[in-house]
Amino acid sequence: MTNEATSAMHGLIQQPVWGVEITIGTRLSMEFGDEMPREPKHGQPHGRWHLLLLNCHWRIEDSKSVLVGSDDDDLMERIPRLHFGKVSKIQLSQPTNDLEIVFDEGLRLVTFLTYSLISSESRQWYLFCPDDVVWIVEGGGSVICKNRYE
Amino acid sequence: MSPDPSGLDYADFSNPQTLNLYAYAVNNPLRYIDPTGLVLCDYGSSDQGGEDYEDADDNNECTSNGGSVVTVQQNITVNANNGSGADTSSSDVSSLISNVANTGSNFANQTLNWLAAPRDPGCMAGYAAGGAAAGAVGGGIAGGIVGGAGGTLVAPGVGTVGGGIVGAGEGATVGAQAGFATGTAVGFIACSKGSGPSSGSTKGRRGNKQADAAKAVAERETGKQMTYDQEEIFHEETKHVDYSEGDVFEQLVQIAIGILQR
Repeated sequence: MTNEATSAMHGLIQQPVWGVEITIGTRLSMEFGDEMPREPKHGQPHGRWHLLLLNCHWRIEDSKSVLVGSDDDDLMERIPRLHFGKVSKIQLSQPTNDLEIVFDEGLRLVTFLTYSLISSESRQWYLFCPDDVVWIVEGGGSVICKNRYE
Repeated sequence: MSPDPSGLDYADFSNPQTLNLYAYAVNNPLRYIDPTGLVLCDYGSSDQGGEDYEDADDNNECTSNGGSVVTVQQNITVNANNGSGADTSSSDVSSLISNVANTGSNFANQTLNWLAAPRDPGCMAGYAAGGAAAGAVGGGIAGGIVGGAGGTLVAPGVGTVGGGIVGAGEGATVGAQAGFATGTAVGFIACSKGSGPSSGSTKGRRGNKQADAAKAVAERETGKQMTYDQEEIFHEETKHVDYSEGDVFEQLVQIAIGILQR
């Protein structure tokens, strides 16, 4: 399943990043690619890919320093100051399926698994894809694929 | 490395660092110094005129230079400077008793405040309803079995069915009442303001837990499961929570319910 997820994510390479913001708590939302129109009942427009970091820890850094960490107090103010550019590399680290995305303006986003077991609170991150598929990493690092409407 | 020679005699339960016998100056050396191992002198931050560590060799110097001796260790400080070490004079004992009494009083006050604190009605209702539903199901099954067995003894066949039905009904009623009471009690603990998911703060990982809890309450109240699509919308809309208005947790629950009912 990890190989399939990695293959699906290759579509993100060279996609522009936009709409990076905190939704609530430490939850980071990040859009990739063209904005896709949606029916109003399905909420605001998203990119062709939409990454939602849920209960994982995460960090954004450049080659010299850590720029923002998920436990920082002022996430909502600091995130908008960052410029990501396009995705230049994406991979899943084993065995945890932690996500690493490198951006062409020199930033790097990494996630850190925080739950060893699957539970209602252990969801680490979601990646919504153009074909209505959602890749999900849960506690223990298990990766699953679901349809967004289930 | 050796533990604090004063042991836990001067532990302050409002400051857990005082329970750590291996920490220097309650693990805050930028603010406090502890030159003898028995005194804790508070100089505030360095830019407030606090003196250097090597100058703070007695109690007077601590206070005359803008510091303040932390109360619970004051008697020990004076005795240490007289070369007699810690004593057990009546003033020390009464001070210790006073501190213990204050600690107990503070704990009691905090407990009373927590008991008197308002509870989130939506959260309470969720727990009570969940408890009642679970109790009704459990009671119904148990009542049905007992009623069926009783009916079998009286009149196998018809009695079994009749007894089972009556027993299930009675069991469900009793179970629902018991479950409601249990759910309300659990909710009283889980839904207290400032100590559960209904707290106003949504910063950091607490915000994540609040969002998860609100989603769970909404799913329970509507009897619907959020799809991944709806969860995506939920996270969009959590951005519009008004942190200055009312109970944030209740706002999150209402957002989630609204999405589930679209």
